[in-house]
Amino acid sequence: MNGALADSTPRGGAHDAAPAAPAAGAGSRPRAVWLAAHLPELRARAPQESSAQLAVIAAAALELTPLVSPEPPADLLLEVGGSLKLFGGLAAIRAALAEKIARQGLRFHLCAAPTPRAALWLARAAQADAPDGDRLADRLAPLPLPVTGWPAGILELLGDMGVRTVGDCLRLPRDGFARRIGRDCLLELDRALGRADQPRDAFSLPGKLGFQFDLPSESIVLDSIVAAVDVLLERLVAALRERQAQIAEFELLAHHERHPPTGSAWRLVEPADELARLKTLIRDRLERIAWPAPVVRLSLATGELRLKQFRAASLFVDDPNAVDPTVAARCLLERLAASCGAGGVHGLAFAADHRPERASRQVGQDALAGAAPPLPERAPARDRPLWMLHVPRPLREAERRLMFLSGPERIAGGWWDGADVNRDYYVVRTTRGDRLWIYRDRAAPRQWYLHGLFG
Amino acid sequence: LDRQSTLWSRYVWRGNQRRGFGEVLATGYEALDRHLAGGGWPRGALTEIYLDHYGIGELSLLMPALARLSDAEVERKWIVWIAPPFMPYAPALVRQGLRLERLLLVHPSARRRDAFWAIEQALRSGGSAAVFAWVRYADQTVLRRLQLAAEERQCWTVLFRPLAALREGSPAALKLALSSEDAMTRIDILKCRGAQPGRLMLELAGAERHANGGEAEW
Repeated sequence: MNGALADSTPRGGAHDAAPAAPAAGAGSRPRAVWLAAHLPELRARAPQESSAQLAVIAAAALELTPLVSPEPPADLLLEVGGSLKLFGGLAAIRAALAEKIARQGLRFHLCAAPTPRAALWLARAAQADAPDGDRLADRLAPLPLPVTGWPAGILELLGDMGVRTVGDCLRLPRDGFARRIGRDCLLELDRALGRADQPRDAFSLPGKLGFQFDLPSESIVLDSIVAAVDVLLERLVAALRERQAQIAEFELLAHHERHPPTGSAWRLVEPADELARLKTLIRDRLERIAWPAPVVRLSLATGELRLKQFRAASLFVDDPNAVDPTVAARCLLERLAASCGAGGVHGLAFAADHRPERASRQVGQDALAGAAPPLPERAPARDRPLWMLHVPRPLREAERRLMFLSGPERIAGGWWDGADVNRDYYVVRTTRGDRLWIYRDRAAPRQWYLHGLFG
Repeated sequence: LDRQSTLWSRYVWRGNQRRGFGEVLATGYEALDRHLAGGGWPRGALTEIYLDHYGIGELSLLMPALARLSDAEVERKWIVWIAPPFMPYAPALVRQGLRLERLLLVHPSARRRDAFWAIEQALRSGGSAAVFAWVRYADQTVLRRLQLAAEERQCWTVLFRPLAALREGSPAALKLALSSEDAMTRIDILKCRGAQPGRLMLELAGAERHANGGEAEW
């Protein structure tokens, strides 16, 4: 008598009088509700097959709660106490889980209880829910012992003692039970009744995927490379579907004989698992690749898998007329970025910095795909040219025949971050009639620069 | 066009009854609106602007309509600029009223067909409210495809091209040539479906308004 059970006081019948697990800070924590799913058909399958199928359901169930724990070979446990409010009650969660399992074409029985063991045992015995803990022992008592999943040797030993139900066990003295049957089984009983906490490992998805394909014969022809990519993508999509996962980034390597591989990487605006969409994205880019040598093998490696986000309808459908414009806009961003490369597509942001180089900056894909930034608090006070040069360009002698329209406007400062400027800006008109924004550096050698154009 | 409709065209987008022109965007310059069929930029059509050097108000000409388009909250579509010759400058765009978060800048590779691929994607996707592209030469087939896509998607499409490209001919619904003359921007309307060719001079919003620049506040 020790360990987790030290504070329960056994006398006579070992278990019945023991108090429920001490409720520290009772009322503050949401009540735990465990939902168990028993899938009897999986018992008959090969261990590998049943655990793979269980993983699919577990991945899908992660949508309902982060605490999902598969119990191979044939059970799944979910802690849904924290999700009750979100989904609008146990019945809704139960219906959602039932739908996910039914999608796999399996028979099942679901049962909810305050402890994971109780839920599991009741589900295995195809019993009704045991919604609160008060009479949990009474609900478990009639269950035949095989629902516990204890080793056959122990069940036989107990059977020889005339112990056939959970209730029979609970009537045995704790000390004797621990000595003759083992601590593990005693702990299981205590956990089932909520007298001992049960730590559980949460289920998580496997990390990354990788595939390889050797071309039937080496080739530099786009069509045969595209065909090989399609094979890889079909494998990828099948694997993703099995795991109920999506990818957000991936890399394709084309291997050549006696040449370093040609690599291209993609980062998607929205995670993907649709074959047609991935094919389009890859083809857009492949058409632009100049292969240094024939391709002999292709390999595809994904980044971390993401949980599949379920939506009411698919975002990426082929008929563009059916797509809502916001989605179309995101798809466009993704396609352009996939084919022009990360730096080839960007947005623009305004910064309240008086140095011309700092007042405008490029923003990447991620910022573009996100929510709209707030409007700048302070609109720029002065007229500025619509076009700017990336880097100011020194004015050539021949370009100095200018008509000065306004200026000088002194812009100085920035010593605090090392990018200081000290310039006199002028608006000028050239003999051709274009209006330019030029400046003279106030530091020696007082060079003139072209910085912008009034487009 | 009567005065009433010209006045209204500054504030609202109007459908136009005339065949082949569709919805227009008021340019923000009354004199120009008067010259254009329907009283503004054709929304679902290709517009070509020919010019030989930048910095003559070519963007200022388009900014009032573009800014209003970017501010339309109905749909979150992009304003796509493809292969611009310089960097657009955020403070100036903000000052003109453009919603920067709608602006998407695309720099395709130098190959001509990549730029046209990007233009066509932008048009066909249904995710763009306006597409501006800076291209040099283009064959008629490509331009016709763009014209059709612009029509189908009701996307305001403007191509900026060198004057030399005028020789090639194009199916664009509206063709303008821009040049600078006496400190003004001269606009030659070479072709306007549903209206007569013409010429006008505009003083486009620019720096010379405040001739006395004076000291900066920094």
